[in-house]
Amino acid sequence: MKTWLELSNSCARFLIGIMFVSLALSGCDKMDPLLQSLKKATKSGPIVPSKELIYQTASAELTLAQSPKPYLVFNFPDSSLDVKVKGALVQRIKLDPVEGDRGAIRDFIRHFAGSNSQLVRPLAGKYLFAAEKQTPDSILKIVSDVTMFESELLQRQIPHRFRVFWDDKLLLDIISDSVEAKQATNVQSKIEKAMMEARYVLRRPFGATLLVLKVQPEEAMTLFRLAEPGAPVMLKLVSTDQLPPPPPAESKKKKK
Amino acid sequence: MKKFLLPLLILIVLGGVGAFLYFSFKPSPLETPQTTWGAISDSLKAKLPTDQKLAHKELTRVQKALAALQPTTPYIVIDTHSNHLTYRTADSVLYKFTCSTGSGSVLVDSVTKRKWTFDTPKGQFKVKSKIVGPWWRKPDWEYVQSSEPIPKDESERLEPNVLGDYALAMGDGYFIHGTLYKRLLGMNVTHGCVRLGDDDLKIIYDKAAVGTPIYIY
Repeated sequence: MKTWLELSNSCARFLIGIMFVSLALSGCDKMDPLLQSLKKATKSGPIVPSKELIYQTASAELTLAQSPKPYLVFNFPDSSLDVKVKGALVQRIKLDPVEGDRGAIRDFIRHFAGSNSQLVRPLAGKYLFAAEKQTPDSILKIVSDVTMFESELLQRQIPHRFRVFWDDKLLLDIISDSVEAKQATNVQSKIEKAMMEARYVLRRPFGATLLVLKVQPEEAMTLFRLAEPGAPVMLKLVSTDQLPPPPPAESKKKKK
Repeated sequence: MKKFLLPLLILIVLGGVGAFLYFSFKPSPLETPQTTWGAISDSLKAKLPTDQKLAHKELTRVQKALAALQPTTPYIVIDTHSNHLTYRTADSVLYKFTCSTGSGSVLVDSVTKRKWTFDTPKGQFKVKSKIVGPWWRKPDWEYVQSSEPIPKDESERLEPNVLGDYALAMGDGYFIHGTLYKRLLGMNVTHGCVRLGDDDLKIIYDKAAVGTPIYIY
């Protein structure tokens, strides 16, 4: 009896110990410039990355703009999620976080940048929680007969809620105000959905970040279809037209 | 002893379920060509010159190059996912219309094995020309799709009054034009062209000059 008691006690201590160590580790950040500025910034103040980081991110965007593929930009100065093609703005979606406040966005930026202070990352994947069909199947059948295209190809999903992720700890949920959307009905979908939620709840104490944005149904449809694995996403922390001030020596010359 | 056995078992089971949920997730492998990300990774490692003046000059150069990609005059944007055409500037949407874009389906000629993919092309284009009262020159796929022989006489291919009152050429045989099938606007039902309703087409024809940039995604 004493042995079982000791065993259960030591088991519990071991688990609690692991939890504390993991929590401590997840709280340790390397003090790179972005993280320093994040830590220094007040709750209402802007996050100002270093000139080098601005340069690297702008150079990366120039590379992205060479491809005809669209890329997503979290434009924090303008509070928007921008879709860009060849460097031109093609769609601006209002950045409207549902859960959390400025702190949630701050956590998202910190996790996105990671220890390498990288402001451009590819999406790892996506998961659709619930959606509704854009056109009823019966109508699509008629359209399919007229156009001679397969009805499956013509169908589009309007997502009610979907999740995109960059890794197992950086998640973004996008929900639309499509109230007609039907929730997952079959058992497998319900289990999958519960597991996705449980994974996040379990990872939350270990540093997982979830940002939830609310968008219009048609915006959700576009974003869902753009959010393919490998799709480039970048963070914009300062305005593009906000050029850095010239170095002190130059400004002195001008004054003279 | 039994008193502690049950809580211990519950603890082990919960721990097992928790560990499974925690470790079961594996992000799917990335499909982006490595060359693209290689170039981006190189850009992300780029260093500014140590000299402050040179660093400022280089940073200004890159930011100006980026800003130059954004058109300063109104441009056309076509979202093939939600089937919307917008005429916009960087700051605001001037007009937004429902359109129809490519279905993405594939047609293969069983005789010649020729293959067509009915996608609207993606990327940056411009209005190359503007046409009033366009006639449709039926391409080969139209005859293959409807199992008809391809005519030898070119004039037999021409058909009036099916593309609406106006057409804006984007190049490679792709146009923004009108449609007889107005009920299908908002759906991906075309062979690659962009269809608009009559009134919306008139506005775009009037507003967009030759050379207007077109972005399709």
